[in-house]
Amino acid sequence: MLNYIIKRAVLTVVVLFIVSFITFSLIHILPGDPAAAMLGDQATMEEIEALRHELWLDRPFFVQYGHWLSNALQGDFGKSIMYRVPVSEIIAERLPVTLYLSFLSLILSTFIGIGAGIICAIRRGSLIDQIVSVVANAGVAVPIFWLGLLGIYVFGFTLEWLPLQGWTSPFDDFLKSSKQALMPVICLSVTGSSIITRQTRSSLLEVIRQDYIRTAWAKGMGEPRVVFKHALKNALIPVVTLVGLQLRVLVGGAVLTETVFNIPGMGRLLVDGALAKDFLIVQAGVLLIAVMVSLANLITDISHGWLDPRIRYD
Amino acid sequence: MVPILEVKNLRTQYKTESGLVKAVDGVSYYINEQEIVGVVGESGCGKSVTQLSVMRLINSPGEIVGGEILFEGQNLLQFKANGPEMRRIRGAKISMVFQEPMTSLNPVLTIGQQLIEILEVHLGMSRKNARQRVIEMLDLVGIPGASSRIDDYPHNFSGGMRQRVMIAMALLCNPKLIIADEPTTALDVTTQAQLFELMKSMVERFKSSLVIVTHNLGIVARYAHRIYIMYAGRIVEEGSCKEIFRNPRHPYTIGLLKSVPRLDDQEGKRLVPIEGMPPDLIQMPSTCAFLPRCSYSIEQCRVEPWPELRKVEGTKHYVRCYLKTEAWEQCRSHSATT
Amino acid sequence: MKKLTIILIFLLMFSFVISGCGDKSSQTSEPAPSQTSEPAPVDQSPKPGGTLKLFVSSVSNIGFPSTMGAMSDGWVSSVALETLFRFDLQGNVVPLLAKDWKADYEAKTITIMLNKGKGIKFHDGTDFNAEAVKWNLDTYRSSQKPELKKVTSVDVVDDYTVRLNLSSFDNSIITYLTGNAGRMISPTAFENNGQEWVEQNPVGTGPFQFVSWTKDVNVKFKRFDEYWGGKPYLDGVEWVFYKDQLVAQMDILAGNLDAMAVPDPENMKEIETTGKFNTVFTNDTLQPVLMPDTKNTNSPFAKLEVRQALSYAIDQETLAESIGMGYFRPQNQLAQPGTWGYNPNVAGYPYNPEKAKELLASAGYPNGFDTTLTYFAYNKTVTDSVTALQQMLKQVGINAVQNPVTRANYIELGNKGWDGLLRVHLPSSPDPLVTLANFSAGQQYVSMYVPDEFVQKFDKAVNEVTFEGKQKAVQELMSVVDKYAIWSFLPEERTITAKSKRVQDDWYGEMPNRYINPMVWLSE
Repeated sequence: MLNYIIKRAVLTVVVLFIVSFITFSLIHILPGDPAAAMLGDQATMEEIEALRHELWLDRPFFVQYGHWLSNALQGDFGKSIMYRVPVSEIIAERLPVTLYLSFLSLILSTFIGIGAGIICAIRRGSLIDQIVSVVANAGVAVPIFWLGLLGIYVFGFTLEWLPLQGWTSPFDDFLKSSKQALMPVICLSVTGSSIITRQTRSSLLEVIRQDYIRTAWAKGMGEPRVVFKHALKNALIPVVTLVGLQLRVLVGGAVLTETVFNIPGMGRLLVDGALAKDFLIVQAGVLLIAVMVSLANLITDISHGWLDPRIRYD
Repeated sequence: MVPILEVKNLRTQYKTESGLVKAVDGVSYYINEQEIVGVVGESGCGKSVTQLSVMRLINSPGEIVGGEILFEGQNLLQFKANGPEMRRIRGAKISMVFQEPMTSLNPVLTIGQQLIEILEVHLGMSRKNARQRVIEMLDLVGIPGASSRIDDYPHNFSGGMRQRVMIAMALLCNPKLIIADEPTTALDVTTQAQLFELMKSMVERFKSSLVIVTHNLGIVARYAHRIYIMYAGRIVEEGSCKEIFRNPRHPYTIGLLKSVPRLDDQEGKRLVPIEGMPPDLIQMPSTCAFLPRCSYSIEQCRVEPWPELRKVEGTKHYVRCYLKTEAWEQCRSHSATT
Repeated sequence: MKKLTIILIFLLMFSFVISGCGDKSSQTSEPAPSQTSEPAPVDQSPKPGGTLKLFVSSVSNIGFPSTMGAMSDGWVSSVALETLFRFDLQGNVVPLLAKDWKADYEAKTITIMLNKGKGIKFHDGTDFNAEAVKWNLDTYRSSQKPELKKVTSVDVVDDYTVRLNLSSFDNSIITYLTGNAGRMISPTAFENNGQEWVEQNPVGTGPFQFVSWTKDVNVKFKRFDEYWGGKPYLDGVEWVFYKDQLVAQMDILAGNLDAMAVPDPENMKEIETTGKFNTVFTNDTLQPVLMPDTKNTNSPFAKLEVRQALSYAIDQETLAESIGMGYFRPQNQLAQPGTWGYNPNVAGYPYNPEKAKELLASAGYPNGFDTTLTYFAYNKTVTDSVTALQQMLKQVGINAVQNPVTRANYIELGNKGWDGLLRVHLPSSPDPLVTLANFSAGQQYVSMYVPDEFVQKFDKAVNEVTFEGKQKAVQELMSVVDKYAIWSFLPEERTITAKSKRVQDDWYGEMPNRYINPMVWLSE
């Protein structure tokens, strides 16, 4: 197991190098001078040249990359031009927000998804199964952006049950924070819980047909035990992969949700950074996301080993 | 003697897209206490479905549409399939050994987890006591190092060992009846023999009855007291082991016997397969279902419906065929000269 | 933006479904007359308390003028950081922190007198005096910013008088001092904490003092009780960040926001129909023009007739009415009607496609020609208007291929050159000389030829010492642009601000540079 993790870690480092190089190249290949973009419409050539020099933009590409990389390896991701503070400082502010919302919605969508999936599978063909299946199919297709606006309009604007937008740290004002987080978390969870519901349902239906489930019945076990002890653990193996994949989906969802709900998280930071050509922010943000996705994959794989004893890491 | 299990006119059907499959069509049989009974037939003849019906393990689209299953004086069909009454019987009073040792054990739970829960649920034992009892039982069925292997997963065991685990599982609550559904199909001959010896000694030891479901007539010859031969969802012949082997009365049984190798066969003797295919269970003729494959049919077979199971006079032998006793001699001698 | 509108329309339909058929009037909304701000009801006396909440999309530096980038940096900081001068509602430069100014053309100096005896203090308790002004101007001069490049040194004459020595005379400098160049921060705060801190923590003399800035959430200011102009009524001012215009719009309709600039005229119509808001126009607006690549002698636009034809081909009235929904207005010069620089004698090129065709024919293009129309779509309105414009040009034979570019690209093209037409949105000032400064020096919009007469008139205008002289020169400059058809005008995109009727402020949204009246108050 330890060997496996080390192997994965080494691989992750290689991936991160590639990711950082590609991001760096992309940002520099894209048309438009970052310095000009940062300084605004009224900037003069002197101002732009000065900033280009400061940002090493007037050096050859590989020199720029080397400069960025050597600093990054020492933990210095540069100073954001958009915010005029060190990139690491901004990320330290933003990351917890996105993680908090993503974590909540990951938990929410996992619980809803697995729960609904189980009910559908057990009561296959019943009215509730049909309703949930239709809702889940719609949930996969519904655009988060649209859902967010609709939510704001209905629950915030018309009914006035929830605040329209905004973000408060749960440590400052838990009630307000929860009210503000409710809609974003639901929006983030819709796709995930729909996908997980469908996967749990089909995977559980598949497992229920297996011989070992018949064995469990033949042993005189009751339905709860058959479903939860014997069937679920098997059925969850593909679901866990999906939950792991959800993290990637959440990163994409964060961009939209944070924009609609005006939440200062990583997603919005990346979009703002990319639009403002604040490449230092984009660079560090993408790298961080790559780390998180790798980590999520590792956790997924380890969970597989826990769920399925047939899998061994060597 | 009162039979421990008596099945009367059991009918189980499957609704499929192409039509209604009458998998079990009016089967009646009984099992006495401490008796070993063989149920023999080709795949698809309904022998497994019959046993699953007894356990009430028929899932949709299958359905038990008629008959009675009397066990200890109660008709099991009056209970809900997964209701508390059935759950109390399954695994405790009637237990089953399935045919696929590879897939019949849950791959993600340890052997211990799968066996201990039986004792917890049925006998209310504490986990510690249950574990001890499981180890003893695993030891008894011949699993070496049972106290450590109890924590292994099924994939750590060989096929034969897994089936020993299944046997241990079936025996745990000291059931009245054990149903072994093709328990050794996927295993090599040596292991098969070992397992049957084991089962035989175990049912003797625990004073249980045993139903061996198999397509291999040879296997039951050695162990069964009584044999039922099934064809196309019905029982076509019933008799003691000796009777069936010495005086088979149904052309199908004769066909089965010819297709089984025997140690006392002359060298060079060829095995004779039964020609043709089993009938389509959706479009069953009213005449004898074996008719298209039967080499000895008479006019009566072709015009009159399939006869009921009839007792052969002066014996405890039952058969479902129009052929007269004299014809049997001819059949058997014919086979000998082939 | 297009997507947003579609969504909005959907939501509106949805809202009708929800609200049933009770409110018919909202469905048949007649275009409300575009109203200017109504004066505050006279019978109400100012009520203290409350927090003014204002929309902002992004800022990066709210405390150090020398490195401020986007215009919003200045707007947000202005409640804490005051400038030496300000514009009034007519676009005239009037004193704010300064008391008066005096220009001397011969000596090439501008002397600024400060308010003596008012005891003006920065939020950190230090004094605002001539030394502080000198420090601020020197700091700004030593930065990359161009406004004060002509200032060679700043002398402290006495505690309340500074003198700016110029390399050549330029009356625009006073105008610049209404903006970031004249924005005063506490030198002590800078010395003690450094630039990085100051950028995040504005310390000025304004009516409100900085409390906190949560990135992309809000910037909070609270009342500065020792404000030299008297104790403000409000408890504070909060700038709220919105990434999505639509969400901001819902917030203002829900009463969570007091004022916001609305870039899309369609949305403004909607806000107007609620009757809870005043629609106000600022006289610093975006003035879109089409800049031709006249420096390229092979370009059709190198010929005057072609440029004139281009202007004649544009139906500004239609664009202003259809795309601008009446909020935009046709223009024929950079100075806006009602301001001092406006020249009523400029005829412009009123829509006349026949004349355009004639001019093209006489220039040797009877069958027209192909060209490129490069633009940066900062909002949906731009895309719509460019498409309409394309059709208009086609009518006279000019086949313009649309070339949308990113913001960064747009800036780069302006600085390095382009082919065909570049749609430039000039951020105008009540002083046209400020708008024109960058490219009269040939620093920006390098593909466009600037006639000598324009340069001469521009230099003359900036050298005028008296207001009257400057006014005359600027008006002449307006007709030079017209005469050479240096560029073609598109309708002026007036900045529309929706301001809640409870905001009792005659400045915000109406005055250039987004000043907030220190004495603003909120009625019920």
